[in-house]
Amino acid sequence: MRSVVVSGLGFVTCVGNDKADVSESLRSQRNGIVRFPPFEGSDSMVRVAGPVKGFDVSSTDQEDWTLPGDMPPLRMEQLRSLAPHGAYALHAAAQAIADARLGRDEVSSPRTGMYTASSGSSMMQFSHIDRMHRLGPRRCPPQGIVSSIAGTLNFNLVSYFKILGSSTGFVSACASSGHALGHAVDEVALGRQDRMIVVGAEDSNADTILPFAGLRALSVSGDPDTASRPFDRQRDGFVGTGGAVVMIVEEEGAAIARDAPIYARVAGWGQGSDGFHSMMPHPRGEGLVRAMRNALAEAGLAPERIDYLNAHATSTQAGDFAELTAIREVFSTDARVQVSSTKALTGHGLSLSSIMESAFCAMALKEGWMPASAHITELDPAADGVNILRETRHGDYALAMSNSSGFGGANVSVIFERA
Amino acid sequence: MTPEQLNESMRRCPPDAVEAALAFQTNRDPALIPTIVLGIIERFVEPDMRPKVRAAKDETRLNDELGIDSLIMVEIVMTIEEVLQVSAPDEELRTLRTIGDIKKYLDAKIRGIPYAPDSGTLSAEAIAAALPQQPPFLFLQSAKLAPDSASGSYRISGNEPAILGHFKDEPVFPASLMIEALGQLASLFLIKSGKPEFEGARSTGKAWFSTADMVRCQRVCRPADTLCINVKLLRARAPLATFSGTIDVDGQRAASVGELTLAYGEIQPCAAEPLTSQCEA
Repeated sequence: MRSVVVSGLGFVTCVGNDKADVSESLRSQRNGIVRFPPFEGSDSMVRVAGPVKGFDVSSTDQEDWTLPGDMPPLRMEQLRSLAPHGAYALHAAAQAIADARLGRDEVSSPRTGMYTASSGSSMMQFSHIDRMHRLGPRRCPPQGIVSSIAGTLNFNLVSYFKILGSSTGFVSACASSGHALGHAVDEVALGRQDRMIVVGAEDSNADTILPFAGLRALSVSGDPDTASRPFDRQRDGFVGTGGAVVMIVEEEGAAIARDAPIYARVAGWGQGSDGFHSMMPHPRGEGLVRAMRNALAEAGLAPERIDYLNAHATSTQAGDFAELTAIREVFSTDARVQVSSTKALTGHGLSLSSIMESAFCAMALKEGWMPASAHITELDPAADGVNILRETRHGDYALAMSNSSGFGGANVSVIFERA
Repeated sequence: MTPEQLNESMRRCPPDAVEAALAFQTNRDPALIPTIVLGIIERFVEPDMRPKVRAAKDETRLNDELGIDSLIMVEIVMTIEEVLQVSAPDEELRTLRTIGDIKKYLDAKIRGIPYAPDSGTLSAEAIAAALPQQPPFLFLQSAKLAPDSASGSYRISGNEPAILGHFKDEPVFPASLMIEALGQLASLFLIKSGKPEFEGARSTGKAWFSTADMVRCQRVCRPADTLCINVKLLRARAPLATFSGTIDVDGQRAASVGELTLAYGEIQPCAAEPLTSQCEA
């Protein structure tokens, strides 16, 4: 198996739209959560979210959007087939490609592929279906489908960047971009591709976030600075966010030959399913235990070797509890692993979250710091025996693990090694 | 349709088109159609094409000159249908290739008279089906046949295999291929004219290059240029037919040929005379 490294990153997130800003936000525990005007007046009591800044993509008519000045150039036909998170993803992908020092011919090569993850755009889909019901199918814009359904990211980005290698999309809710990353790593490790561009993105609007109020999964706190508080005893649900993160994984020799920045080596990854419930996690996190153990086994590592674990922990009672139980099961109580959830600062980005947190791990490993778990007033007693990192820790370390769990009890765990 | 709905449907269209559409609501005057339609087309094409729409003539081709593909066409038609309150079945739309076609089509719709598509116009598919030349050696994307002449067009994509090596780092459409394009249009004329004297071309489905005289090239043609190709039949006597031909780009003469002669029908290969010189290389 070939060695796979992370050689490029791009960010459009509520904690920053470039690498430096994101790193600074995480290290200084600066959150991206605000009182979100589109939620005002809804009867859900949900008031806060982590919206993306610098983009106005609130209209269902793309020609109304205001995009950042450094947006990659778009022809009208390309603009009109994008979902809001497609605009985020294009920007983040252009960042990652530049970061990895990839030329146009290397991006558009039979040796380069792209895997994407998003849930599609509820806002665009609703707008088109509503129009179809009101005016009939012949009055629907022809690009309505590719700008809205799950898959919109790969339709648009693969054609925009003229990707010639493997491409597909992944849909496993909040584990989606973890699956995209893991399978992309395999694609490179097996020699099918030399590099893969992995994209995770979600709209950052009411139509994507508020439906979670229906299952009472969102925090109803009105205070942006404490609403998302994984592992806190009083946590009351997650805070929604959107954006896009792009990670380029590449065969190590190819990345070195191009003098690309090497963030980390991918040591291994694993999956495991709960086989339990369509939404609820298994109370003991059994699927997540399997995912972590499979990742450790593939990397050939004992659990004691892991220095840092970026937990999936979204700040829901049931989810955080199940993950704490799973962590205790895999790591002995005297293990050195430091655990945090960066979702306290970013909120939960659904399909975006896994690749976002993997990117955080790769960046933190390279720069030599560990992100802390913010906003904990009273640590949940269920975290006894788990080292929850409460302040940013500076200094080099060797191994970081990132967990993700999605609806249906799908779990992914990825291990990064300092290169 | 209320003025508000109309303004919503015609959002981003130029003001003169919106004004014409508002007037059309009350008087249904077919004379307003060109302004409305050009305005709607202008709104949907890429911004750099808008001046071209403003300057468009009836013979301006929607696809290769204005970059309107089938998806953009759907958006244009949707808006036209809404604004003019007409319905345009897909099978009728497929016959519309030029600005003039659209105007004539809608004019007929509004007046309630049947629209007769111009039967002389051949699509890229019809041309490829008629000619023995095939991509990547087919330099004709649309063609229109008249009793003694033919016109056609070809947009240089820049992806033609020949252009990749012509020249190094400077893509230029070879002059020899311009003569080829004229020959292909002349061949198409012979094969599809329906005239009894060219039956031999129709039945064999091909014509052979014979001679070209008074060839001139006056303009360098590059990717994204559209060649407007014209040939005129000068004389015919089986098995030879002689044409004159011109190629224009953006209103400028790019190439011309005084006499281009093709042979058609059942051509017997002549016994080759031995050459006095031999290829040494």
